[in-house]
Amino acid sequence: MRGAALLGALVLVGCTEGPNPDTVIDGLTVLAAALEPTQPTPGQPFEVTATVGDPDGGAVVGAWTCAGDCATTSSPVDVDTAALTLTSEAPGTLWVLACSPGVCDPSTLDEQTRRDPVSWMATMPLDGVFLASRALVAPEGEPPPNPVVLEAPELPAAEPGAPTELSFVVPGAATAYGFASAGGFERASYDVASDGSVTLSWIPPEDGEHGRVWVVFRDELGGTAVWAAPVGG
Amino acid sequence: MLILLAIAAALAAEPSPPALVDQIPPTYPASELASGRSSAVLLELDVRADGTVADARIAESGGEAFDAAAIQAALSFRFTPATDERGQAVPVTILYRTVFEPDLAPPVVLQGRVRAAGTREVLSGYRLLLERGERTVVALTDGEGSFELAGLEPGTWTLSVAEAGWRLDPVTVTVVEGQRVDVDVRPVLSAPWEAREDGVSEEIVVEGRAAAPEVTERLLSQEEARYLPGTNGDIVRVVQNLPGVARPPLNIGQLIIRGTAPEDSAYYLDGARIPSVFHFAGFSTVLAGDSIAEIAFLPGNYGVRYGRTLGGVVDLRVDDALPERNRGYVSVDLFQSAAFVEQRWDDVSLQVSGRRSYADVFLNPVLAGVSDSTIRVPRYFDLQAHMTSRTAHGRFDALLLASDDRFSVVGQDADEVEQTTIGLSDTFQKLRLRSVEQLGGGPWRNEASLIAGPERRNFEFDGGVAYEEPFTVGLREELLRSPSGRWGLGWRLGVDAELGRYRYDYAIPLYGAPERADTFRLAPAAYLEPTIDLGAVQVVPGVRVDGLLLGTGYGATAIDPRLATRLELGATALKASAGGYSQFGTVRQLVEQPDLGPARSWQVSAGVEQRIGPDLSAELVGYHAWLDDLVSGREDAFRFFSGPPPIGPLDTDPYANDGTGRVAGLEALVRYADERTAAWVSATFSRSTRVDRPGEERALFEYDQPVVLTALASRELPRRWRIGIRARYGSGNPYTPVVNRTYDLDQQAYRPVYGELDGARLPAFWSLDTRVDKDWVFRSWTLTAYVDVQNTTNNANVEVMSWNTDYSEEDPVTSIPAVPVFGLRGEW
Repeated sequence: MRGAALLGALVLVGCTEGPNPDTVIDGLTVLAAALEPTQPTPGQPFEVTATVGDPDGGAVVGAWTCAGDCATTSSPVDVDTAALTLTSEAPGTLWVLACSPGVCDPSTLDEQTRRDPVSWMATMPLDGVFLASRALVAPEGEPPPNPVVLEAPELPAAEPGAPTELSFVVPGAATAYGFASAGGFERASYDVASDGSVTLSWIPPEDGEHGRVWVVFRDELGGTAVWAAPVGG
Repeated sequence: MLILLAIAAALAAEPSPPALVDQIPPTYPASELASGRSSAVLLELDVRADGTVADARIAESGGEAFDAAAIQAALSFRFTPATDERGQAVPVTILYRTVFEPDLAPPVVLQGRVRAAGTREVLSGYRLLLERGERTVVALTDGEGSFELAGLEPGTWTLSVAEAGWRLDPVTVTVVEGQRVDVDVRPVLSAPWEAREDGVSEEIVVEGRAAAPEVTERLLSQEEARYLPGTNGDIVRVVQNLPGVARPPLNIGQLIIRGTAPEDSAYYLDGARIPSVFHFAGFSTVLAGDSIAEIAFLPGNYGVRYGRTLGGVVDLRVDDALPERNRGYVSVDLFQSAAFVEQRWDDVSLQVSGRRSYADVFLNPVLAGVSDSTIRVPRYFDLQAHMTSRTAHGRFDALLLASDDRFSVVGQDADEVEQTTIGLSDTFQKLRLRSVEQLGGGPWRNEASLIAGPERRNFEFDGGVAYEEPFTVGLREELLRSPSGRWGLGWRLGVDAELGRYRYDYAIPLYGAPERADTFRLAPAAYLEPTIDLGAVQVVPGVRVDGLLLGTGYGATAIDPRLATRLELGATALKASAGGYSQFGTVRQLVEQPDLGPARSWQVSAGVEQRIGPDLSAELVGYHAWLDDLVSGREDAFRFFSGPPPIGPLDTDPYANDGTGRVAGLEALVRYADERTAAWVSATFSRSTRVDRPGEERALFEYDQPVVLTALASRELPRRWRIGIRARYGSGNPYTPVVNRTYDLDQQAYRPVYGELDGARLPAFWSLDTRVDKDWVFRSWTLTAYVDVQNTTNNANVEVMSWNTDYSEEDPVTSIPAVPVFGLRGEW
């Protein structure tokens, strides 16, 4: 009960109004990394498509895999399209690193850094560098494909600050996560119905703001689909 | 010349004794009427310079009843003043003989009983004044609180009290010749400090018991602790103000004692271990305060009676004395209500008490409408029944104790059906039997106790349930002999054992693979502690042997030698102690890692106690502890039941006896206590460090608080007011700062990147608490109203460090704002 008391007190933190801050992208952020195939077997090549929120522009994205306890790592793949092809060493970890210009460069990471990128991050600034990870899990049977966005809305011209519903149909997806570099979403995540339908509540930005809206759809096994649209101009 | 002669004559005057000029005849005791005997009592009277009698004592008894009657009568005498050689009136002490003859006894015309208003306490040896014109007569109560007066002139008399600190609205009594008037007198204790005959207030803190010296044992009595500010009148929470105790985060009911973790300290009920003494969040003790006679707080270097722990000990000592009167109370405050009833039948008494919090009753319906994820306000209750009986050579008591705490956060699923998001509960029921006997009426005392009952700690989260369910039987058999003989040799020898079934099942999918066990647990111990009392010097060596057996086949033993010494030098006492302490791993740890041995602590301490006058005392104790074989690892979510998860990088590797630690500190306590004031200042300066794994750098312990200062005072005021104030300062706990973050795409959540281990410290804590009490005394009961304001200055103390969800900013959890707790208590 002693620990319970601590947790209980922490739960008593108050609520906030307006866009959920977790959905607002105001700095370099890796939002998703879709794999193809979704669960590669050890040694099987696979393709990574990273979705990066980069309000300032110019970010470089790299990715590498790290097997088991990171005794070995793959060489980083350095592309500016954020579409990567790696040789899976599953089970292990896929690391995706996004760097703003002049802050870091994924292609120059040495072996030690690739093995323990978390310790390296302790030496880096909060802004301009973003490290994300995905677990690489050996599949049990034939992995399902990534979900596909069958129906998506046109981003409406909405009243600034007024919640606007965005409805999608994405069969196979379980959860939808909304992100926006202009405006935001009421909640960080939305459950997808069994028929693939889901409606997110987007709060448009104030007048004149430009940016982008992303919705990341995930299934239970890590399959990923992304929908994105520009906001303003 | 004539003037000079007159002065010389006056100077040469003979001293004169006092002469009795006014009296009422002594009342022949009603209890002696049947005997019809005569008697004489020789009194020693202190006669003031004005001829009134200040005091009367028995020089030669004439029998108990005659003595009382003689004193009563003498207190009403008026003498001519005694004079000295210069003719000046002076106080003197004289002998006076009172003779009782039944045939000459005038009839009783006034009788009555005197009991305190509010408490109905019988007041014996209590003086009343009867006044009529210039005439004043004193009535003195006997052991039953009764009095009788004879020989009063018919007419109207005014009755008042002659005792300091008491108040009585004047009572008019009409004496009629040939009639007997009966009065029931209920004076009000308006200034208790004036009424205390010995001039010493109730002890709040007592150091170093002579019978079995602990280097540092601090005793708290219930009576005074009830009024101290910031504790809502809870005696156990007063322990948090003593030196050696660091402040827990969020003021929850943990005790962090001498740089050890909360789970390293133990709670006892008269030497029988109980799982907890506090309800949820430390609001209240699980036992009614009036059931507790005193609390022994032993921060370290305690004797062999206590074991299986590296930290401190809090022993609640239940009041097993038969009450002098039947009594009870009902109390109501902002958070809880409680009731207590105590009844005595000859050599048996029964206490029944209970308490329930009820904030949930009012707040949960409100919260239910706020959002779809609703916090259910914690609620708790406890019940106790305590039977005490006196036996031929001692006493026997049985205590039934039940405690139940629950808390939950409830959400709704897609079908709008309520689902428990987080659920916590902590319940236990214990039956304790205890016998204390002086064997054959001789020098050996036998204390035997048994405590048994189930416990359950439950945690629901993320659709899973984790619980621990021990059923423990605790036994203790102890023989004691006070120091005696040429070598002043005393003994304490005993055995204690904890045995029972221990079951746990951790099945919360988010926390990983399920863990479960269902095993038998036996922890026997034996101890021996001779006391060598050489007058000024006491030496207490001792040894304790502990063992642990599990149904899984695990077995381990520990031997802990201990030594305590005490040297009394008048108002100064020097004390020193050294000893070993062992603590076995938890069942979960030992099931998972059967190679674990007990964690060890070697403790030394030395101190001095100094009494500075009748009201002031001071104590200084220095201590050092070397901790070894501490259990490291598995700092995962399932640590939840033994203590809060640490903030910082978690050591999730397997369990191992890899940890070491050092604790050093200095404790000071200055205490002032007079008839109406209780105050103390306590200071603790300490440093506690740990090395969790070999090769790691030494880091601050997560609860290390280098400076903890507490000053508090409580004072009785006229008209039954009482005020109290407490100021506290404490260093913030260390924490490991977050210097960056990574993003887990599978969980769509940020993960912290930690900087230097315990490389930052929370801001210092400080708080001012105040309390005001007011009593209204009625004829048969007393109503008390109080307001206890914690954090009166509304200081936003940082309690725990937290971060926003992307770990880009610190988002500390601060203390609750100033909360005035109003309460009422009706006592009879």
